[in-house]
Amino acid sequence: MSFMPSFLISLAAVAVLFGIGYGGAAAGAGAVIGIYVPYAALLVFLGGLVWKVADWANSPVPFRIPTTSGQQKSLDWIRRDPIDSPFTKGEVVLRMALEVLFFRSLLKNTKTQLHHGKPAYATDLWLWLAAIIFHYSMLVVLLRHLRLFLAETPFFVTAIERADGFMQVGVPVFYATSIGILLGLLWLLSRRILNPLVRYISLPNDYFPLLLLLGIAGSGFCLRYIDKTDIVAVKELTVGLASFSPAADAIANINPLFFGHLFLVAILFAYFPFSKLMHLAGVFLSPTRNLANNSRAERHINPWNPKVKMHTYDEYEDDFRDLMKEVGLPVEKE
Amino acid sequence: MAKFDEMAFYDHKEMTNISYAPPATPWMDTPVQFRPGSYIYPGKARHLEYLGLPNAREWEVTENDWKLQDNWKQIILEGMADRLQRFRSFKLFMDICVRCGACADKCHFFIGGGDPKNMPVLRAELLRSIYRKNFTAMGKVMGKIAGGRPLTIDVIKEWFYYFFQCTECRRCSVFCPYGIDTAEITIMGRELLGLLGIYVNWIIEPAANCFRTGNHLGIQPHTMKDIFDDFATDIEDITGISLDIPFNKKGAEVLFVTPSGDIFAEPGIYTAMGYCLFFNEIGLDYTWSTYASEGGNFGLFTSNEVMKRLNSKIYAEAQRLGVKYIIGGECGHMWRVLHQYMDTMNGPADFLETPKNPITGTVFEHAKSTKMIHIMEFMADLIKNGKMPPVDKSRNDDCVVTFHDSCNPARGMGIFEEPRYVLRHVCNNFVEMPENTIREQTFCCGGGAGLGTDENMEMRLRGGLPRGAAVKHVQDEHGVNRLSCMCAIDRATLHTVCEYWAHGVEVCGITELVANAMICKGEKKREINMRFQPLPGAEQE
Amino acid sequence: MQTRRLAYQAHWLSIMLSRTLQLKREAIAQRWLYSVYDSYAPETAKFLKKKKDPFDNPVGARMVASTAGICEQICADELDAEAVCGHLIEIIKVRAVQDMSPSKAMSFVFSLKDAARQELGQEADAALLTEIDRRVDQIALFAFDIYVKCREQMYQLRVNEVKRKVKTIINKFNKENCGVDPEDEPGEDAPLTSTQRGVEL
Repeated sequence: MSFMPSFLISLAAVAVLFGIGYGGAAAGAGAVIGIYVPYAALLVFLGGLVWKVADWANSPVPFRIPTTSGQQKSLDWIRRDPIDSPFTKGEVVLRMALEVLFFRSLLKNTKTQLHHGKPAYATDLWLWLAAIIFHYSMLVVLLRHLRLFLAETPFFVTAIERADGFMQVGVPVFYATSIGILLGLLWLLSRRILNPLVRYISLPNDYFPLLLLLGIAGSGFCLRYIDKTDIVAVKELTVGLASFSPAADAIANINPLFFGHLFLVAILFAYFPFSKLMHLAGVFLSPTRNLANNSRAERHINPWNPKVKMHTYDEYEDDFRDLMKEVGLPVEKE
Repeated sequence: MAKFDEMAFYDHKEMTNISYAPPATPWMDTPVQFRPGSYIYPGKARHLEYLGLPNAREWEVTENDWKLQDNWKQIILEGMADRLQRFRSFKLFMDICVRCGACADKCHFFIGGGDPKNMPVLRAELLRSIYRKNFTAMGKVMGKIAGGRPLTIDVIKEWFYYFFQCTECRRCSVFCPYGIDTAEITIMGRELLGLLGIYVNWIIEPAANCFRTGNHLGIQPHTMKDIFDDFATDIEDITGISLDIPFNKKGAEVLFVTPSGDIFAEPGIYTAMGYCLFFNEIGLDYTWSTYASEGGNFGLFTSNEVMKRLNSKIYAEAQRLGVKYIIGGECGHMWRVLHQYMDTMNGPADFLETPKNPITGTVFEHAKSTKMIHIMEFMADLIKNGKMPPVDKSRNDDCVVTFHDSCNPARGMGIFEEPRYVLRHVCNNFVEMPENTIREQTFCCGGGAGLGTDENMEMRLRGGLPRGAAVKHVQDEHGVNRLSCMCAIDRATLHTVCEYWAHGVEVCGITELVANAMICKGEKKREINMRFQPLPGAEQE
Repeated sequence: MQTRRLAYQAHWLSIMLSRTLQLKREAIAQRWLYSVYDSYAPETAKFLKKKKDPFDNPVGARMVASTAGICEQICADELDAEAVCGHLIEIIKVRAVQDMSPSKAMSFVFSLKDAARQELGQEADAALLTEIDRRVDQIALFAFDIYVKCREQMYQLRVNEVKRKVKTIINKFNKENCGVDPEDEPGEDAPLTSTQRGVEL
């Protein structure tokens, strides 16, 4: 599918979904969208996540196939690379941690070589940077939302908020991640659209989650800074959701925009396990990254190691015995 | 398809329209065109029959009808379902790609050729689109919108074209944030094609040969003995040392296995002769085998089952001969198989002992399970312990050497320092190529994974361009005239790549340089090197 | 009188060329380079333009240097055949092994005409354009020779490879049956492999 239809379908889907949330609440179905849909989405999310991870885990890893990007462990005096060619479990954990926390492989993409005295374009660093900004902003935003689900705000949430609001501007205080998440997403989206290379490989499955997240982040931004809602009522609703005693009477006091936001979040949760967003869980299972490069020291077991027809030495000697004897090669049977 | 002397062969639109941009059709709607020079001839029926593989028949790539089984769709889909259950890598890599494009410009075929479907992500999407359509809920319901597409004969042809235009070099997987390895995808794609009897002859003939005679080239035992007798004669001519090359010797301490390509073709034979001279000089009690006369494994490019069948001979022969452990020669994909697959497939090798260098006493603990070590590990250990025979580096002074990290030992094993250590020990002039073209970022020769034949020369030359450009650079900058490598396929294919892209650079194995430099006990005054060329300085005298 | 006028014209032309063209040289080269890129798929073109590292993008690096070099020649007083061929080889070697028909592989030469016309625009003088066309046609002929040499070399490489594969047998056979020392035989790459050969037109 070419770019335009892919993009438009995704955009329309997000717009329609937002409309359902917003319009539904405005038309008085706030209880459905504010209570039933989130519960259902959470169920689908958890169920889907468990099912998908179990499904992956059910397929065995028949061979030990780490991608080695550094010196193996061989002779003691040769300096080896414990991160890119891990030999022990601890080293694998280190490699994975760097991969998951810092997107280390993407970082390898950068080139800072000089060409005719000028530095080469380091465009790929931007992909890493945008990914880092988006993912960490997302994480912080998620953690900040904990305040809405717990009656007592935990200390780390307060700490995060203080750090995030370091700019000390605006009422309510302006968070750096509010803009970080939007910029990160916009950068990733524009890269997908403007770079012909990436546009060529992009599918609706790529535009949809980006637009969905943009919809969520955008509506959230509005709710906090522009078209503010009754935050006390929202907290009443969300704390109720979290404690499984939903407060339906709070709904009437909430801005319908909130329900647009909430509905998109619910869709994201429900969509998550069935989409590429599962890279979140998948990265931990990737056999080229999470295995130690020690296959010659410790035998890796393939649970379905097949029985196959071999060509035995005896059969071989039967084929060539006379020829072998002729040139004086030793044989088993004369 | 029209012949070149028919007008229909030429695309008139293309000929009359000089300045044009290519049609901007989405990739799913752009079927593959087979041009001579860009595909490999199909596998011959008799080789498939010999290995007991399905749908053995004679067919042509450019014909419309590929003579597939009637239920070929079912076979492919069942084959996919089966492999999804058996390989976590396959299932995971089908699901988690986010199409970030980090891999897109990392493939040597894309860099050199510019065909967008050679971007690793798209190579995988060729399979992924079928996976989505048939194995995911979203794909089943939403089809194209969810990135799925129906399985048609054009898809099969496209798979054939692009999965045999991937050298399984793993360069892309270094840069992927999720470690998605296109080599795994290609391996699966080729296994699936194999279910329909779609193989290329350059892979399946060596595989069948290897099954029968023990090596890819189909060298029978008596011929092999003959070849080595000739090696012995040549070595005597060069060094004055007459040596005995042990074959199928029971009770030897070490079994030596190396790819058969090196005992037959130039310039690999000089490396093979180097092995004989080296082992003789250090007095190692070793043996070659005619039964396990192949270290390489074209099964890796066929299916994991065929790989296991071919590989089984190494342990079987080690057990029959009663050796203590195995040393492997300089080879690329051979070491991927030995390092990452052999023990799992055909182990445990509990009849062998943990490799121990009898000369230095070093125990190779890192190979304590597989019981097989690389000759470079062995040599590096000798040098470090001062037990290497004395060398005269100046004998390699006619060479300015650079080193090509072969894909598999680099990204499927991690052997980077040992060969460099040995090289620096035996030659004075050693230069590295640019950093982003060596070690884990090394560029493929363009002929690995069973693509190293001659009918696809055009494809290979464009795939070899990135490597060739790096060689050309050090040739121009530092006068490099020798490209050393530890891979038999490289020795065959890089020779050609260099002839085209960096004319004047010759290719050699490391052991060849070792054999040149090594001062053997009782040798005559050396005047020629392993290639029968005068040693530097010898001409003036 | 006639010869004098011709000589004057030639003189005038070369001055025109060097004045007008020198000013526009880089712009023409740039435009031409981009039209060469655009003969690839758009996503490939983007890659060729974007990646500046000569080893990550060897094709792009070659094209940048060679198109600039050829444009220099187009704008010089005289076309230096050797220099032009040296640059042409760099581009054609690549295009000769890429998946494209001969006509497509060669089309890039002619797009230089368009590039020059677009850059010179209104200032263009008919005589100047004719001279440019003449030079481009000359370059096209060189290019044709080089393309064929590259393809011939490719087939020669196939042959060489097969020969190397059977080297052992041939040597053995020769030694045993004919008493010929293989080293006395002519080198396998004696005919046409030199990259320089394209220049020796």
